Amino acid sequence: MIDSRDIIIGIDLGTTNSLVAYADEAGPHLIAGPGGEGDVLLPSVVAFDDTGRVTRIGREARAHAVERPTTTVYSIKRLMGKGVADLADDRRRLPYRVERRSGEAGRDVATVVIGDKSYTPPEISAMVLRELKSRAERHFGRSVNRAVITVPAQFDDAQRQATRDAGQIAGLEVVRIINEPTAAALAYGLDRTEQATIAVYDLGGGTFDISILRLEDGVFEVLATNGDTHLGGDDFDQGLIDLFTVEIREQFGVDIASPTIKQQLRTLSENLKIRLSERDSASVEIAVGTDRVYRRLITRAEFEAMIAPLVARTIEACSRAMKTAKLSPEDIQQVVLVGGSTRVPFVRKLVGEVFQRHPYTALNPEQVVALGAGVQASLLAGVQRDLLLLDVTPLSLGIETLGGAMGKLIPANTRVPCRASETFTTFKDGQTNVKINVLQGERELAADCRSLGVFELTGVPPMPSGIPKIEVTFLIDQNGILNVSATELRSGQTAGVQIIPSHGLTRDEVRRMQADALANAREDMTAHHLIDVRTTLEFDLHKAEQMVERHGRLLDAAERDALVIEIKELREFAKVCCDPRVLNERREAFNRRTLPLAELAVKAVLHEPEGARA
Amino acid sequence: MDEGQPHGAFRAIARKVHPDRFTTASADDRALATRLSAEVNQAHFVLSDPVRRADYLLELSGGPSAAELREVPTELLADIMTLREEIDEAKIAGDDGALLRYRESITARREATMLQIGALAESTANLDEPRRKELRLLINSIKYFDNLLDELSADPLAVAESATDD
Repeated sequence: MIDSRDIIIGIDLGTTNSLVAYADEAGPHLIAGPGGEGDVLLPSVVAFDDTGRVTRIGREARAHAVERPTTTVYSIKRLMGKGVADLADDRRRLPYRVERRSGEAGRDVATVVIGDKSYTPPEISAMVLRELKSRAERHFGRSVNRAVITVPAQFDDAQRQATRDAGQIAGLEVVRIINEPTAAALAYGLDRTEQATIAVYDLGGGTFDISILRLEDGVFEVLATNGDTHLGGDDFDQGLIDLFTVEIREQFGVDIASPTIKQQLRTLSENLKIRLSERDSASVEIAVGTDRVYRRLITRAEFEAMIAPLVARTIEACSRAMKTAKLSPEDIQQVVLVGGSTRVPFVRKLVGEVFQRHPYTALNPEQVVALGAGVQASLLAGVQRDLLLLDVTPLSLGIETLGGAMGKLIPANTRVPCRASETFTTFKDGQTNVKINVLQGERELAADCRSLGVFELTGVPPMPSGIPKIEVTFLIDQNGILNVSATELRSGQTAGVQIIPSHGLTRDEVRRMQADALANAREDMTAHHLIDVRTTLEFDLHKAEQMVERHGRLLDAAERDALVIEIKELREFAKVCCDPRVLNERREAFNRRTLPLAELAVKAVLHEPEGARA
Repeated sequence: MDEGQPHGAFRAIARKVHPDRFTTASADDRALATRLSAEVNQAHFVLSDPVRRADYLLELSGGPSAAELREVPTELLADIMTLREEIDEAKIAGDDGALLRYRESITARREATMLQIGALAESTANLDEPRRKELRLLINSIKYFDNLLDELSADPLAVAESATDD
């Protein structure tokens, strides 16, 4: 029913878990992993060996985190589109090494260092994406090359670019980036045709978004969005981790430095938090050294007091979003909860208070974003055409002015696509290049905003200073990604725009990484194939041994001995052979040699009396 | 004009030109859809707000633009400074009654100014330069009223609370 060319999958690339979905005429569906139906969450975790080679992705990688904390990478989403300068807190908390990529004058791109290898966040996200891609390919039985990927509404241009780069590295054309709360609304709004205003409160593992949307005539129009890209359930866990760390130091005089124990604390804290959503109190036990145990009972009230300042920040963002949309709580007909952290009762209570209504949770908060991404994918693939998303840009876009101020060109919450133009000139006679520092953020000073990169306009025709009129057009597309073009108005010449992203990858780097990833994938495939051949060979050898044992008397002694030796030799060879094709050829040759014996054996069995066969 | 009308028309046009409708089209066509959508969004942004609409009409009739003439009526500037001091005092004193009265009176003045703007903007084509300048000053003054109203609701939670009191 779905043409291979037209398959577009929807992906929720989450901080903690990722999911893949698609939609057909019947609606959106999640695609399960190898665990079968219900195995829809792929933990966004990648495990490496000490040399920096990928060993496991997903659930098995997560299971390894405590054992191998420094080579297990999780929460990579927090690092997307970031520099080391942005990540002081994360670097202190994360057990794996995060360094500034070397040899980058003027740029600050964070990389994860494992053994002698280093990976940028998009490369690690690409590993998770590739796993989802192959889940989808197994499901459809054909290759899948296009995807819609969701991002937090508050993601800036660099974070969105990084997500798109991750897709490309994974071999996916990212046809659309959509905002997570908008996707959630799409999943909820499928069968409702009436007019409504809804608020989507999305608190995930690492990010928080609040979006207010109006649904009318099948159009999903975002009125306002607000939030924090560095606030989520991870921070709830961190409150508990910090508490335990301090108390263990006070009671036992022990400083927790070992990454393994840190990781253990993280897992225990996460479980404790989850239990506290069901119960009024829960406790942890942590072995300190060999003979001492730290025991701690946490009440729900204590936990709530701990996370209150964090939740308060989300509630303030809700009020700001209502103010931007010029709405008060009674104008909002429905409040939808999204993200695993909205399972915390305290969060539900405060959200209920600020919007003065019970939040709606008909769909699983961990699945709703992926379902919405699947719906958007089907809209783009033409499976459905009756809905349309109109989103906004979360942050103001501007340029650094002469005095170091932020000159705003496009305000936050402007509907996308949107466009603004600004005219620049030269300061020196004959100047052919002009540099512009492009910013995103709400602060007055350029230094307090986020630099997206220096855009260098090249090929300006040489003229006396101040004469060229270079019109630069900033266009934010439907993905929330900036496109810049420039024209010198006097000559009508299109100027070139060269972008040096502050925290991102250049087009060439992405292409190189895609090629590397493909080569690695081939290597991985070889490894996979080798395991398959070895398994099959062992099965064949075992069968042959049984035959020799039962029917060896049908052969003459020399033939029989030769076969036994060959079985032994082949088993040894399988251990050292690294080329699956070579091994498979040997296996096939061996099977040809045992064929006469197999035929004799079959005949022998057929001539035995009935009862002896069992 | 009917305030709801640009919105319905906007949705109908947005459906036709949005790039999501052209995922299988050529790169050039997709780029065109993106540019057209940006234009449509800009048009709706201007039309859906009376101040921006007046500003646009003034620009069409020859300006001055906000960048060319930044002033506000002189008597207003003095008023604003006094009001700002009084509001600060009321805030410090925690006099919610006074703050509410300020909010009401500023809202009323803003509405009166909007009526003046509306009357002038309807006939921008026939306005001479002094009248266009007058319109510019009125439009500029709206921003001052909005800033004051923003200050009165600086605590975002206060907005939510006052809304529930209704």
